[in-house]
Amino acid sequence: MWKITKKELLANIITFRFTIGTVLFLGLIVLLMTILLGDYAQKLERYNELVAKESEELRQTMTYQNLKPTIHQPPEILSFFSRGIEDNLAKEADINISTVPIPKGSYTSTNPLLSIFSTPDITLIFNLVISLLILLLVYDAVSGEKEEKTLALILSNSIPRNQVLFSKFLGALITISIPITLGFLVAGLILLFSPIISLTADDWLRIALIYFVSLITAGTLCSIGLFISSVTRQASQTLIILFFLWVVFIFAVPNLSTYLATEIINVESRESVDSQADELHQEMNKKIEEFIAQNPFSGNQIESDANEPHGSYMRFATKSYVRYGQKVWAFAGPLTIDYADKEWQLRKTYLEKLESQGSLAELFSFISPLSTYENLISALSRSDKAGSKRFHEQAAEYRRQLVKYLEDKKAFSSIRYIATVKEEHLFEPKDIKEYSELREKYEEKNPQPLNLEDLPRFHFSTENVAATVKRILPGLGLLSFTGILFFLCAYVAFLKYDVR
Amino acid sequence: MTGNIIRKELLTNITSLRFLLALAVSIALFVAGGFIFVSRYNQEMSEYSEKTNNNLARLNEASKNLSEVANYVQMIQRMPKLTRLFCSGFEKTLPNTFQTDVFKVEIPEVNNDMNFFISRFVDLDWMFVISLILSFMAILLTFDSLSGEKERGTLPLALSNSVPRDTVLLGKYLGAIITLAIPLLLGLLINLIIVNLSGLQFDSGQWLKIAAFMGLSILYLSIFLLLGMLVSSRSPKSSTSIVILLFIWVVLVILIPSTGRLIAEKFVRVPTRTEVDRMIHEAVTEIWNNSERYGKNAGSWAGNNLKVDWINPPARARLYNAVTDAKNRINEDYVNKMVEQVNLGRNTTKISPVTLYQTISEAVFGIGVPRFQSIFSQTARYKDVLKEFLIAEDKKDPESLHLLAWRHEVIFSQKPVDFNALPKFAESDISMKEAMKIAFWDLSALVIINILLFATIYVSFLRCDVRQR
Repeated sequence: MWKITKKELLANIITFRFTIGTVLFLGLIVLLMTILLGDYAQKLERYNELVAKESEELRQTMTYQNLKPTIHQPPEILSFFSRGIEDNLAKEADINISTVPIPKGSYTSTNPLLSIFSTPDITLIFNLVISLLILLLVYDAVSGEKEEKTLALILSNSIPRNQVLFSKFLGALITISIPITLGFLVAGLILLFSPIISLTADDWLRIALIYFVSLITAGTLCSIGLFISSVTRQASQTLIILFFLWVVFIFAVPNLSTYLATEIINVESRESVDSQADELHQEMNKKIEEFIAQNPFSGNQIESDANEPHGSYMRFATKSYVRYGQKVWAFAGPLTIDYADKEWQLRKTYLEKLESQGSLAELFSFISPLSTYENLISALSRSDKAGSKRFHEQAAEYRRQLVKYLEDKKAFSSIRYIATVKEEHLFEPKDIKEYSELREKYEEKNPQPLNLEDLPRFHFSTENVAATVKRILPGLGLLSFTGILFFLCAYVAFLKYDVR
Repeated sequence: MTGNIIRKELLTNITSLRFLLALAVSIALFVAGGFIFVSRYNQEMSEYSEKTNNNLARLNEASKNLSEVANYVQMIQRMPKLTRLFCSGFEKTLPNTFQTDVFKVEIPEVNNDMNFFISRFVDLDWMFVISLILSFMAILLTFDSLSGEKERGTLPLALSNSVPRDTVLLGKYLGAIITLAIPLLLGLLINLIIVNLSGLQFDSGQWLKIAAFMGLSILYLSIFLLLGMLVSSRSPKSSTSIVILLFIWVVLVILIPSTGRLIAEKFVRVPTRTEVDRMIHEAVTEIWNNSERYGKNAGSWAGNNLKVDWINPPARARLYNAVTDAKNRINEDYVNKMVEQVNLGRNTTKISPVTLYQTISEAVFGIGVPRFQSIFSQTARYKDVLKEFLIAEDKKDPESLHLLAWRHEVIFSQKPVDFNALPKFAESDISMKEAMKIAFWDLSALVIINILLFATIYVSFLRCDVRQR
């Protein structure tokens, strides 16, 4: 049996189509990796810039009401392998007390016109080049040898048919694993020696798993090819059928499964959710207005405003006005948090609907092994639904920390919520003369920013590989099962095959 | 003679398995695409008219007061187009809400129900089926047109008759084109029936565009037919030519177009929305810090009280016009940057005929990015037209201070205005002349590629050794 495998392997390797396929595949991998590395370097630089700017702004924050950090998601190295839905989602989140951060479309922060482009990744090259290469390797495995009459010759020896078929399968799989392995080696070396990239053990493990899944997919494709080859009479027919199957797998299935999913699960429009959220805000504002109507301000409203990036604050104000502000915010602060939670409940239902739509589309796309492969790789590359959602989940968690921080500091009822003026500098001027005198004395020319050293900082943590593997197991199982099933079908078909 | 060869080619083609499978796949996709489109179109159309009517109703309400009309932010919707069945121009994900009052045009917003948890998927429009599936079919149709006949030994046989080689070549080429035209015409017929059954109709202008698109599609597909014949005439075996052709196809049709975004992001930097907001904030702060530049006491205001002597309404109006002008400028720069970025990505990927085909089709149908750009500038023009109208109306009001500034209603006429006389926004399509201007070079490139390929094949085939090796 090994002899046949060896023969198949050698016969495959010396073919022109194999050589040119391998060379092209490697060339494309190198080219793509170079482009993606450049892109990654740029994104990383941009990310670092934004983070630095953000922490600078945080250092200069004057009042708690303007403590509204923006957090950023670091660019994902593994998205080289699969972009998944990376480009769909915004990579930043505004953290403040009035809203819980939710996943947002990338058009909210970047150029929406770029959505006309798709983005290349290694999976795309695999799906196009490797799968076509596999088709070209196996299409004539049975029908071709029949045509050349060598099949009858082989079977006239005392070799069982199952061994012949299995050797052919193995031969094709080993052949195709040569370019796959070389491709991963090249990609791995580029990643290893690139100065801007440092991969963790978890990342390397993921890359190894991506390699492994690629091999399984290749095996499944080989057995589908063998099956078609053993049910057709002519190699040229096999090739044409395989090509069309390929077109269906790669273009038709993903599109139609998305369409079906959006038809089956109805999601209310985003605008209607937005208007419901608006109503909530109005309700909240009404409550605040009521509070203000019940507790009208009396006294001197004298203040001096100053700007900071997220709003304004008072550098100087009368005692009565500051006290009043403290009183209003002690009421409005917790109320805002309350309403943020209410809005979150509303948006959560909407997001869950969107997610289940996504899951259903994924489920339908399992019909195509190539889509399945894409789904698995994007999970391993942390660019699938769960991976992209993670940032916003952690953003929401970070907001909880911020809220707790403010509550612990009793920020809402403190002067520093609205003003930088010191407690002992609060006063009530009797007349305009005293006012200008005191103002001269107490207005802060260089107010001190808040001491935020004990404010928790945001760190994005990624899912560990074990959890991802657990998630992809069903898909991986299905893919392997499809492979085995088609091999068995090919076996049955081959047993009945008329080799003459 | 040519006729005979065409007939023979056509018959062999359409009786082949590959043709039947391609026909089945493309027709299935055309039909699915047609049904999906019609149901979505009706839904979008009703949403569009609801929103547009809503906007007009609110404008009507505002017309009780001239200065309220000036400050009312209109939500202009992009109208869904019936010709999106053929070329969607990726409009699904492009900004579709344009907002303007008479002072400033806002950055257009994306208001759609795209599910960002689903990886990007393209519309099943004709563009998609033709540029991917039919181009693939074109290659499958021609990869063995010459090398296969060489292998079977029929080519020397055909040429041993008194048929000139160029006639054989032309016959094969035309035969293949007619073969490919069959699914196109059949698909068109089926889609027309689907469209008609759902009560929709194309007007004569649209028919012209569809015809132009059909011609363009043939021109595009012809590139792949010619490529197939070229490679086929140069390679000894058809199994070799299919490998080479597949890789050419993968690179041209899928890989090159997909690098557009990376190239665009590398060479043009578009600020994020947060940065744009920051820029506006800074510009406005700068204006406010130098408010005296616009006249004495420009920075002071007393609500609706015009009797106070320390305010200076003309200076105030100048200040606020400076503010809105600055916003306008920044927004416009941002939108121009957006367009510049996407066009760079488009232009660099024009090495691929797919991108050429896309840009020309978008120009022909007046859809996609060119349409976005056009609506944005039309909105700006509309803003000016409305402003002039309001200023003329205001002149008739003796009580008005005749000063128009954002959010300063009291210095402008408070009189009602005839709603019917108010200019309303109406999108004008990109005319054929403008389309020609946008797409002229792309179209020329497409034609030249065809001619060059044909000339190369001609020379190559004349020198080709037709004997079986």
